[in-house]
Amino acid sequence: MITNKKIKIDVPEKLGLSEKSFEQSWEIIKHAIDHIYGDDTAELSFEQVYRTVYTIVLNRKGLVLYNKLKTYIIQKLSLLRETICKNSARDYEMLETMVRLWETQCNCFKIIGDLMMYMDKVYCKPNRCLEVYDMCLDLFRVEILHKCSSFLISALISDIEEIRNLGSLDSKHTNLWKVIIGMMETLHGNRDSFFLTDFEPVLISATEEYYDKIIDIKLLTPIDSLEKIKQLKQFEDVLDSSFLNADSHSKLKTVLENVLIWGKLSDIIEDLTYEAMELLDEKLLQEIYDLSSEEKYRFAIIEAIKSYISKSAIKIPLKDGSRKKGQNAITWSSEVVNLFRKQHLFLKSINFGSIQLNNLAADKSIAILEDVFSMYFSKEESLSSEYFSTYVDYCMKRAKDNDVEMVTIKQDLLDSTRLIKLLSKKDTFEKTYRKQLSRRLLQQRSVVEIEKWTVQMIKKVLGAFFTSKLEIMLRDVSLSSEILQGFKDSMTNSIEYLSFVPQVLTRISWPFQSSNPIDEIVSLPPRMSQVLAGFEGYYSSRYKERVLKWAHHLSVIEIGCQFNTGYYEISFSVYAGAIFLLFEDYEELTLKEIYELTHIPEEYVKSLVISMSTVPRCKILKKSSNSGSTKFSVNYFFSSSNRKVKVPVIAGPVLSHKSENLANHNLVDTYENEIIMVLSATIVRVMKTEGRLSHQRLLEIVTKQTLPLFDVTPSIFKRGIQLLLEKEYIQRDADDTSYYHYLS
Amino acid sequence: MTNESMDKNFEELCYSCRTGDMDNVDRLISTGVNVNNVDKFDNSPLFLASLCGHERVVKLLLQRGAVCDRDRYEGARCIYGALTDAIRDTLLSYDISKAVDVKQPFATHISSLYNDEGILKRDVSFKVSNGRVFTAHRFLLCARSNILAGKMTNEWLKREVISIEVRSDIFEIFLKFLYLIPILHQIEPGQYEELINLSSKFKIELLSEFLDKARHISDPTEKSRLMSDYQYKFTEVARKQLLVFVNNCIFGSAIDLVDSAQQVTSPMNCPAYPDIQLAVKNRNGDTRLYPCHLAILNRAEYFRVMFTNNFKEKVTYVKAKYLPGECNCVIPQLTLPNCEFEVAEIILRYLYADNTDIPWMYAVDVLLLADILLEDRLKTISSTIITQSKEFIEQYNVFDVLYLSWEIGVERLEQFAAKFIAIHLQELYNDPEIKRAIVLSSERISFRQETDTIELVDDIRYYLLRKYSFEPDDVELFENQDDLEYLKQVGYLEYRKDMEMVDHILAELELDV
Repeated sequence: MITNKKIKIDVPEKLGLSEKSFEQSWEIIKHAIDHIYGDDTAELSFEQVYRTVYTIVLNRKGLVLYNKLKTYIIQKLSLLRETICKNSARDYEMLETMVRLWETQCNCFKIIGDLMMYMDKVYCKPNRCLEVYDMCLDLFRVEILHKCSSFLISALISDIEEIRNLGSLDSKHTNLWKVIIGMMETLHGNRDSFFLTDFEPVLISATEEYYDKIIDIKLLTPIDSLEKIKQLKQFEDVLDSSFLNADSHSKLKTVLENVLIWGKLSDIIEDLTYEAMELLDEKLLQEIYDLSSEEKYRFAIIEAIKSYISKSAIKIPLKDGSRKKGQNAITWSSEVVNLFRKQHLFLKSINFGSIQLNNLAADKSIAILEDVFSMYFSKEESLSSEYFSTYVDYCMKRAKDNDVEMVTIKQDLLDSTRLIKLLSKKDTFEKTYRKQLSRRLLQQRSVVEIEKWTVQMIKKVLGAFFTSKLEIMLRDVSLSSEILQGFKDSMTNSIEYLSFVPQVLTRISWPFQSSNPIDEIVSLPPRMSQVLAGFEGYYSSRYKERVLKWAHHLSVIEIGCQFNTGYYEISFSVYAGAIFLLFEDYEELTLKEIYELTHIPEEYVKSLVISMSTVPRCKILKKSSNSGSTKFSVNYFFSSSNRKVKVPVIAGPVLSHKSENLANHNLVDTYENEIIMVLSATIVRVMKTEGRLSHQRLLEIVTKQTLPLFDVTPSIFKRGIQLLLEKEYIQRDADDTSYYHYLS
Repeated sequence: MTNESMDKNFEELCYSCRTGDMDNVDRLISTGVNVNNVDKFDNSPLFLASLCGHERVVKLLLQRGAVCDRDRYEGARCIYGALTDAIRDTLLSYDISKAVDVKQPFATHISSLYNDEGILKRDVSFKVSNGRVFTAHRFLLCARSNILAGKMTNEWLKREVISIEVRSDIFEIFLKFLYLIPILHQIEPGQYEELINLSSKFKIELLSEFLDKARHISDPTEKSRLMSDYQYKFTEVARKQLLVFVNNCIFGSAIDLVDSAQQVTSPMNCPAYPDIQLAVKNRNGDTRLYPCHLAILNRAEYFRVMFTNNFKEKVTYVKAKYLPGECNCVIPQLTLPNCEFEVAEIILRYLYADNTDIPWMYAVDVLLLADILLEDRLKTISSTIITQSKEFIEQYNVFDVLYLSWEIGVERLEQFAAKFIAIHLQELYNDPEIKRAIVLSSERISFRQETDTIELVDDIRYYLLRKYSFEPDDVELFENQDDLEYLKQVGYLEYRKDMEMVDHILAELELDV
């Protein structure tokens, strides 16, 4: 038989280990533990105890030994517990006792664990129970920590508060806390450490309570409160970092922010921010801002900043009314620009950190300012748009080539364009701007290069939609000077004494529509009409298919004239100029005669003549009444302080008044037509992708898409829809008329 | 060990690297096989292990000094031949600088003694030219140099501080070298001459040879290769020297106690210069005292822990350490559990020289002692010996081996026993012991907190499949086959017979698996 021959393996016998009873062996171990607890191991033989454990485990008595050991340790620990819990000493002493106990116990556990090393390896691991050292720690948790927890926690908390009251760190205390917290973190039940489950929540709520009580904000000025809170926060921060782990530290930080900054500071945060803004104190503002990284808090501060700026904006007087409108516009706008500039300069130095604002501008200060100003402008609606246009107009007129002021003017313009972006009625702005631009261009009141530059800037902020016509206007002007050059070159006999500057304008891009009916019938002095005819001929030879029409009412004529007192250059409207030139050939003329010579309607002639004969600054004609008929002649005694004199157009006669009104109406009309064109294009785009949509939904989408350009009113929208229905781009649903279909 | 057996070991190492047998690789490396050798096909163990995808073996080889030098063809081949990316990363991360320490556990331990600030006794000091004093372990110096050993027994015998006319920096390198600290790269050109003189004076094997070669090489790659080759050789030499020291000085001066009350003779005259005595009692009741060194015994966790806390052993040791030399005739005594002297000597050879020649007849005793000393590596090595020895299983009862494996938790032995039972099932069938073993194994179920299997039965069934080289799928196939002749040919009938036996035993035991 295969198994009969063999040498027997009998482990204990082989190793010559004495066969003791379990009780005897246990006595040896118990004796060892007693000595370990008595810190008296010098007489203890490691060899003997180790082998006793080995024999017990080998004899499959591991479980018995394990349990017996557990009971014995519990017995030891409960004896020790009495010394702590009974002790009614001061908090600090209680903590000291605890630390001492913990440290000595850890040491004992470690030595016991070493002695039981064999059991750890052979019994504990395969049976999935805690190793001896860990088991002892767990017993410590159950027997000491849990049973003394209320004493310990309250002692620790009150010791911490004592240090807080003193306001200075004491490493003796913090080191003690650190050991205790280390102990709490080491010991854990099923999942989380004692520290997490039992101590941390208490610490947090105690801290909250402590700081809630410590400061009464009502008794201090805002700046003092800020100082105090900063100080408290800083101290607590240093204190916490001296004994807590990073995780709890950051939890306490949040609590502190809640209590101190939310609970206390939030009431005065607006005042504080205002104060900082008032003083333009970047450091203070930054400090306030940095107090908490909480988003809620930062938003509150940003809101306060915004409200401060908008309050300052509202303080800027905005006078309405037609009187001194231009002056009002200029003062108001320049103050707004200055406010913007000042606040931008100030806020630029503030680091706002990473915070998500609605406005996505990369520069947070710009984002804030944009919010404020667009809000402000939306309150003022179209007035602000008009005023800004006027302001730009003002700047433009100031600008001269190679001027030293150019740099500042350019800066003004640049800052204005930033604000123009925020206007709520951009269409009004565009309308006004176009009008003013045309006037500037035609009257050559500004530098074209700067006009171009400004239009580019506006294009950047508003988009090509708003500036396409402005660009065409500028192009027309440049082109005209080219054409003029060509015209001059083509002329063989030059007319030196007459300087002729034609402007060829693309009709639809300029803010006037119909030509003045007078232009068709007026007859100009022959010298002028000759030149015009010459130019007409040149132009039609160059652009055959184009129609050239003269718009004299937009033109200016400048006549140099020797009066008794001196030589003056007088600028007129073309009509007035034509009338004035009549006096080259006639000494005196009645209104009727003037009408017959020029074909300008009598009423209009009257107003022109009156402006030349009554306005004090340019009284170049004189009136003489003889027997009912009023006659006019040149006033040779005219004098003026300036060499250049401008003859203003007094609010016109009935006819021109009417026609202007008409033009105005037309202007609005065309503007609406343009909107409708854009609107229908948008509707078609939307319907093409969606196929079928309800009226309401379509309106929503289209409104959203065209929002940056103009406001869609229901009536305009309806007109757009009507247009598309007529043109059969879309069709109403046969069953539900509130739905539209796209027709491909 | 002869060259022949070394070759055989190397072949076996290569084989184990192919199969991924961690334990055996560890054992074989400890016999002193050069892990950087190549077989007749020019394959190194490292290459084989990485080619076959045994990541843990690769790591072990690297830790034990296998070099994956990318500058050399062999190293590049390892990297490019690696089966998995993980292995490649391991190889790449192990550059040559990390791998200089060839015999990690052994050499590292010796090196650690040099700087040890603990309680260990240093029983000799050298005062060099500039007055600096170096302390050292007398026994180690004796082991490392015969000249030094000779001086110790003569002129230096009674002296605790020995003045020696050598430059301080030279002596430091020299001493570190003796402690196997890899300092070869730190030797400056100006130190060669004196170092060569010193090492020839004390007849230090290989050191002057290395220095002679190294001083003429300037190419850094070549130099570092030379250094790693020599560092490896130095460790080998040190192992041999310590083995000689154990055999001659320790075993040679072991004392047999006739009467347990007999007074120990003064250790001052002992050529081993012990600081501790290890008492061993054999089965006949004879006691032998081995003069030993805590510095070395410390390698075993058991002794290390024994001396970490202030138990009697440590207190005695520290007390003895501070007694002045002349009166130092009492040294602390430790005892090993009872075993044959040969077993104790195997343990000592292992601790001192990393020697793992374990004759099969002592393997069980070594295993038990290793278990008690918590020396896991020795445990796996001795159980590997058990499983590989043909004689062992002829002499021992397989069930005893099984019970032993349970007792001390060596899985390798458990598998070995199950395999043996499977192969010899038809002979063992009538042995009542097999039933007992299965019952015992089933009782271990609750112990393992698992429910519906008996591990031993599972293992036996597994090895029965292996016995007939079947796959589980094959069995399913055969079950639906009725060509008896064919089934007989493939061995299925035999397999069925074996399986029925197992089922029969289980039925008899009323165990439902």
